[in-house]
Amino acid sequence: MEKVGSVLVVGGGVGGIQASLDLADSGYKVYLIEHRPSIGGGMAQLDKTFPTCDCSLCIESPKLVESSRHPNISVLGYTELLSVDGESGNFIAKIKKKTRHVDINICTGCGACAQKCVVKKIPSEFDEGIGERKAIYIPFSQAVPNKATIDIDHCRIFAQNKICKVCQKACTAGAIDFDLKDEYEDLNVGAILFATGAVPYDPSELKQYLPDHPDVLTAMQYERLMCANGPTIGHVKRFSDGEEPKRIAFIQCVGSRNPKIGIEYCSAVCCNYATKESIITKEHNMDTDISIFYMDYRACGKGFEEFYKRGQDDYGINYVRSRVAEVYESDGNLTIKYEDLAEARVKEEQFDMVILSVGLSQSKETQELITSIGVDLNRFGNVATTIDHPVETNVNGIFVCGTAQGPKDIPETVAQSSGAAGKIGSLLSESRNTLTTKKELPPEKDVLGLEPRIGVFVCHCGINIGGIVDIPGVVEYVKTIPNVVYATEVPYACSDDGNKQIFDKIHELDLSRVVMAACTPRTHEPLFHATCAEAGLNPFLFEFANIREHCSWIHMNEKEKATEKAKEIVRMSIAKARLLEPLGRGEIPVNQKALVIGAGISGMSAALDLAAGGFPVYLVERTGELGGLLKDITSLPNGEDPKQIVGETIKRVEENKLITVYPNSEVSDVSGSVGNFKAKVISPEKEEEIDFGIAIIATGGEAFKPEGYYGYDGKRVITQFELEKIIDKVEANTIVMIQCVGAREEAPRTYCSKICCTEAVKNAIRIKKQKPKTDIFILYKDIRTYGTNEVLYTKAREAGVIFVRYDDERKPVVNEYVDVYDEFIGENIKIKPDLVVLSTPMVPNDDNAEVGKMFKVPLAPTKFFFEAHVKLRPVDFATDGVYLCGLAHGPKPIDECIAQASAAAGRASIPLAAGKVIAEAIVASPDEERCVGCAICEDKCAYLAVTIEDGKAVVNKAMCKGCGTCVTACPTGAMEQLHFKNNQILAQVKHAFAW
Amino acid sequence: MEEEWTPKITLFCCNWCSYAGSDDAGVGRKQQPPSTRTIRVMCSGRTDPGFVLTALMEGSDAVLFTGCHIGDCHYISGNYKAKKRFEMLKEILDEIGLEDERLQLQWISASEGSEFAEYIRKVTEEIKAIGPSPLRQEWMK
Amino acid sequence: MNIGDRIVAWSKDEEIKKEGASGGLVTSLLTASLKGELADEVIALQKISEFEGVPIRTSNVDEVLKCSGSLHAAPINLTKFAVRFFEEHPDGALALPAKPCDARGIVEQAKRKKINLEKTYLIGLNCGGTMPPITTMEMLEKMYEINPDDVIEEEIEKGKLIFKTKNEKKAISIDELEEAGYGRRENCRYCETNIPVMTDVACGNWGAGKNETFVEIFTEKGIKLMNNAIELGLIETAPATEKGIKIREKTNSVMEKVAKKWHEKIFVPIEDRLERFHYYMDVMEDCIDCEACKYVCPVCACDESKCIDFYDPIDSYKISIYHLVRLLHLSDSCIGCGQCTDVCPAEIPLTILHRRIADRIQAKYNYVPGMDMKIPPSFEVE
Repeated sequence: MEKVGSVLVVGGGVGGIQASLDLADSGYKVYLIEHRPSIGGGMAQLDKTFPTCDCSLCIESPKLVESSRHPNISVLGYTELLSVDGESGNFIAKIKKKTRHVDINICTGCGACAQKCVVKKIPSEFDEGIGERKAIYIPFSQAVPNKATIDIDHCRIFAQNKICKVCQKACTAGAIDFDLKDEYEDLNVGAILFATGAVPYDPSELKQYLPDHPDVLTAMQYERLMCANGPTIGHVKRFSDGEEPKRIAFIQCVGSRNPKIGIEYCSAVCCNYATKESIITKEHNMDTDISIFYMDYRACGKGFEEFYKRGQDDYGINYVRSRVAEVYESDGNLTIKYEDLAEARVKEEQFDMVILSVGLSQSKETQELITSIGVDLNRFGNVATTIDHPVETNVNGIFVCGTAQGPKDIPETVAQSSGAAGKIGSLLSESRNTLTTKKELPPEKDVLGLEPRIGVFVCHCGINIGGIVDIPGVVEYVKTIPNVVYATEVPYACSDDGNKQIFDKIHELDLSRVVMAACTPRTHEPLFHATCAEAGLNPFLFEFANIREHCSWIHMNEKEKATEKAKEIVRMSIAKARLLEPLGRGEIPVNQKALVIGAGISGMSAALDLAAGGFPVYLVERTGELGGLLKDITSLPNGEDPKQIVGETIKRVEENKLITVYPNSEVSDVSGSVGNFKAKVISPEKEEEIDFGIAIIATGGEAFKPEGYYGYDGKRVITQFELEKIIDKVEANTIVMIQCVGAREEAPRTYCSKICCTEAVKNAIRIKKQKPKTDIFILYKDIRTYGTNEVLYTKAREAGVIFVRYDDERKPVVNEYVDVYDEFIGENIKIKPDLVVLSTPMVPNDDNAEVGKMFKVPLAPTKFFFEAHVKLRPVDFATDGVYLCGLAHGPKPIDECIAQASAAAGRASIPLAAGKVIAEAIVASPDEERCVGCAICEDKCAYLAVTIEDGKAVVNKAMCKGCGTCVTACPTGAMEQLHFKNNQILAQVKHAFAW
Repeated sequence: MEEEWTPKITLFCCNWCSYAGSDDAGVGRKQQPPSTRTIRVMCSGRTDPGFVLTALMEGSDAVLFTGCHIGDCHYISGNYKAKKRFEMLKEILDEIGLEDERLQLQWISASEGSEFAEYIRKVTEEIKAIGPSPLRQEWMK
Repeated sequence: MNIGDRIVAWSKDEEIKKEGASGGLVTSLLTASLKGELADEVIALQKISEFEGVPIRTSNVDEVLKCSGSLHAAPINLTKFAVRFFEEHPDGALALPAKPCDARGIVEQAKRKKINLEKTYLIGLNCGGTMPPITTMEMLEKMYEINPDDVIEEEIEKGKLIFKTKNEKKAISIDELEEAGYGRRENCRYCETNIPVMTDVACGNWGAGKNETFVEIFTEKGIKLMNNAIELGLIETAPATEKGIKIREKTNSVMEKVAKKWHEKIFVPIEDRLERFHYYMDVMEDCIDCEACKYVCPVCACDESKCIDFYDPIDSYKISIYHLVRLLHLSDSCIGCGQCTDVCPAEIPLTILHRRIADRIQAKYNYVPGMDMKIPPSFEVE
């Protein structure tokens, strides 16, 4: 039976959005449904994201807008999935489009209805109940779709049977229709992806923490409180008395690691978001005193440990290791009663505000929906998957990603989303491009030779810019600049609304140039380019002015000077905009073969996914064997057999006709760029030239050899990795394991290796199982069995494994005895072990730097590869056509490696499937009249894109990468770089400073 | 003049490393003196000495070449060529009597926000120490 | 004949021998290259007076013959004339007499693909310097007490500058003249390239007897040039004498030493930074943006160019960005030919400014422009 080339994505959080974009870009029709009125999910509610403290909505918003305007994505807000019939490749999904009682084809999202609505003070879901909304509302200003919704539980007409119709009168567009009914539709799709996410744990049953007290908030509520588009416009204050809190406590593990309430797992994100919220609070007011009460600090993720350290060192956040017993109120203040584990005594402390770091849990409704379709949940209530199939459910053709599958942070969610999209892409590859349509753009208006008509939009970005820079002042100033025919301020330019305003003004005022004074062009330029193109304005007539990253954020204490600078930055951009010229872009054909470097589990998984999509793969492995590190692992935390996983994977790779394996080989002499790479594969026997369209770097990592640590000798003192190989033969009565050996220390190993705690606990349990009499001590700093691995920690303690905490001031000493301070009994203890096992971190491959150079991709300070964006582009590089996955990106467990591998393969499939990429528009372009044929440019070009023909320079546009080096070298000025022409840059230079 | 003098520094950033590093400084809220005006070019190899000379003639107290670290250039070797031009330009500016500090080159990677901010603070202090550009004083006459 | 040969040669044509200097060899080589169809055209300096010469490009042998004789006070560089030839005849062949600065300009243009060096016959002329016409006329009146109009011939011999009229012959040592502010052009005084080793053959009277020219052969083309003239029966040759070779070497090394002295004297470093700054500001301030220096510059390959593009009169900078861009663009390729100073109506000592910077850059990169086809540092390719 023929497969259907469309996909249903259930859940419009960042995971669902990312998967939808990837699927739509690789040739599938996508229905993205979200039961709430707007997509965006939990990420849209966050103020910032850790560990970079990026403005959350700022980085997510472009994706909201992009998905809503993508020709192959139908974004269906306020829509529910009812049932699913059929089978993989051909499902019928019944959906209910709940009526908003607003015709979404007419509603402009202006908000006039909500302004007039008389039913006030309804707790806003978007603000987690601490803000208010009306009975007709748009949840937030960047909502997508930006449409009003009537809440029939509160509307006077529906709930009280009254005659009101105030909103209907207010709506000049006539969109409100109280008689509209729910609509039902059957969607025929080839696959279904559950990206249903998670909900914050509701702490109302944990009365000991006073969850109903006005000054006790959940972390998500606090997030809304800090956020510029939240109920207090970002002013942190107590709801009891409106005072700014001076002392704030965070209580960790609320609704996590608590079997009493039936939640055994660790929610994996709370430690890091608590630090993030603390840092942001401190940035608002450095004098705020913040304590975080935690059990184990779990900084499990790239850059998190360093972030934790910043919280301690740079911001003076007080981390208190303790499980809080209770919170009670006295004298209008909140008192926290806790056992200080470091001092082993019960203490009490007063705070002005208490934040409950609530975990991630699943809503009953979602669980019921999922099980009704036949998809299994695991014991934690999340969608069940296996280690080697982290995004596939038990039902063929139904996939899962993000927190629906288990607690995780945004980059892991995004990786799973891209991974699921990749898997679906491979599954439905025969039906690729059968249901997609191409977006038709209006003809471009002619601007050449006409006096520029410049429109300038100055973005507040909430308070990110507006809180520092006097935006009305900037707008007034801008209006005095020649050729500016329109200047205005916008609250959030990147919102649907902001883009619509640009679109409208281009038409209304016949704008021929648009200048956006907002954030960095590096993230938001594509969005505004698209808006211009839709309005018939060539995208290259758009110019950015970065007044956020380069102004408001770095001059927070100098508002006047920041405003002056902002004016000058905008003036520079206007000066350039005046001289901008429309550019066209060509297409570059893409070689549909792929190169994967490294044949560990990540590289092999990526290769298999690519091959499943029909793309030939060169798989190059430095060693003589496939399987990487995993082939030396003898057991997995959940009991699955690694040998079987690795063995099967190798077999599938070897049997796959589309995969060519090069063992004992290395890649060298890489040239070309996305679509058309060339390289040599060199082995001792032969040297082969290969060509390919994309490359995936899956070079893996290795276990750190702890030479010089704790008397490491490979015999009595061994590593956890070495133990793994001999674990069945271990003869020891007493074993001491030491965690964090060579990790979480000075550069470059500043990071937490994420897997060692689980690894140690797993091995301890295994030994206990084989020989229950063995005494096992695990000396640790924090036990980081994050996520559902927490159950192993519980199990180990039940099995009698003894956990002893140490800190950096009092590290264990290993001689004949192991000497360590035990804070529980308050004195040093001596253990005489037969075996000491050191848990050492994963370290990057030594040839990462070399591989990085070949592909022009960067390394992080830790020497792992540095992805394009830590949150939203975890498997991409800034360089097109090159992707990464697995340990090359950073330490992580196998399921995360495999999810990333699928993600990298999925992302790579986009250009491979399209068979083309759009060429650079910003290329070098010689003026034949002026060129004197001196050939200086020819010598300068690193890409051999410039040649001299008949005494004139000629640029090969497919080869030119647009660096502009030849342009600088050209003495005559005949060579120009489009969009960065000499006169354009000179105009910026000349307008840089006012005197 | 009660207000402290802020030098005017024209900063050329390459799109891939130093501009991203500068963004990173912003994201990290690494506070810097408001002395710089950034001009984005795709590659440090695009930084035409003519732009630098113009910036100086316009009265910039200093001009900074920034780009990817040597070996990390997004365009293979643009930064190497930038370095050569920088060195030649440096000789000329020294010859015509401008202080060494007024033209500087610094490699900044995309993840070096802290380093970037630190560098801007350092340069601003250096320029404050030597005072306004003599070219600017000439210009003001 | 072989590369490296040093010979003496002279014209067999008595007329040429008489009219031309040093036995009329150069004139004979030029005519031979046309007659033997080595070159499609030749460039020669047509004498208007002793103080004025006009370069002509011609394929007419008779025109060439009119150009014979040396002309020290017509300091024009022929590079751009050669460039024009190749613009018009990309596949043509050209022969021309070339002082070291002509030859260096031509080599630099060849690097910029403006001249096809393979098809250019460079008949090198040893050069001890040229003189600025106006100053020379003044010098004749003041130092020689001769009416410039009466001069019929001039020559340099044994460090002395000799002028002849119908009635008399006066010689004054060049040192004496230059002390008094006359004599050679400033850039010639410190020029250390006297024998044009980058040409095909270097011709001169150093080490040659009366009415003969000392010739050193540098290239295959040089051999071809000589053989062609011999085969056409236009010249005769003889091996150079040991004594002649020594004299030539000695003369050259004396000239180099003198040049070095002049260099030290003219390029006194300005140690103080601010003083240096004001020096440049003051001299460049007088520029009237006529662009004449760019037009004559033998190593500038541009027509319209960035030095003009980046310059905008409304900027009203204290000094023009035009010169700053030029100083940079020429810093690796300036050959110190002095043309810019010669033509500057504002009398800006441009060559000195350029050389001050070029000396630093060229020393830094150990690069001497115009000497061979080695590319300049700004072209550097990995």
